[in-house]
Amino acid sequence: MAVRIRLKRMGAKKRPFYRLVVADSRAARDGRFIDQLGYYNPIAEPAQIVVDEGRALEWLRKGAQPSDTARALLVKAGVWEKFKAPQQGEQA
Amino acid sequence: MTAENQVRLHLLYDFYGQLLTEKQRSFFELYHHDDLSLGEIAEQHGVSRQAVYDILKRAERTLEELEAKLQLVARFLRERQVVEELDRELAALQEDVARLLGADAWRPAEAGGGDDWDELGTRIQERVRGIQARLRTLVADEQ
Repeated sequence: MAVRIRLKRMGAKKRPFYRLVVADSRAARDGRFIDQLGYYNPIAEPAQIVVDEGRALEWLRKGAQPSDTARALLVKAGVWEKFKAPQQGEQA
Repeated sequence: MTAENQVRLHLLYDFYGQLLTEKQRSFFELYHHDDLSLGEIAEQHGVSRQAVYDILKRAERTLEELEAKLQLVARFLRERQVVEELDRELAALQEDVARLLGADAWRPAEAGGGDDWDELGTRIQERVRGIQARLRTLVADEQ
């Protein structure tokens, strides 16, 4: 069972708000998710990104696959870099 | 796609989504709102990955064409900005009014208090005029 990190759209019409969630790759439509890692609020000036770094790293290390957009947010939040750094260290 | 582009596309969908076909809407929501991959959608619906991609691209193109003609999203963003500015102006106005009311209380005891009061009054009037002007731009955009 693949576990993915996705951005789930919440909020109202014309007031988007996104949650960064961990979910099973097959059960996406019913909105169930395993864990919530943070959120992204594009309406705030400047846009707000909040990520629980410890939990995000934990899920990434367990092999959870982020979607492209989720990864872009993790990069912006600086979490992706911290996840990649030890891996490169092992290869060297 | 960057998060900013995605937010824009989602706004387009909020405005014009009802004009897409049912299948376009369904795939758009799976891909954009639930963040499923093309492969995951293809698998769930028993179609090829390429078919999902084509339907999504056509939907995006339709949304962009509608915006080019109707400009509802551009107007929405403009208006939202004006409303935010008005909100800030009103907060400043409220502060000035509070100061003015405070000034009323100590004014008799202060010899030079009168000038400050006039100055505050002028500023409040200017703020009100500014707010009225901003409000008129909103109405003008309605045409």
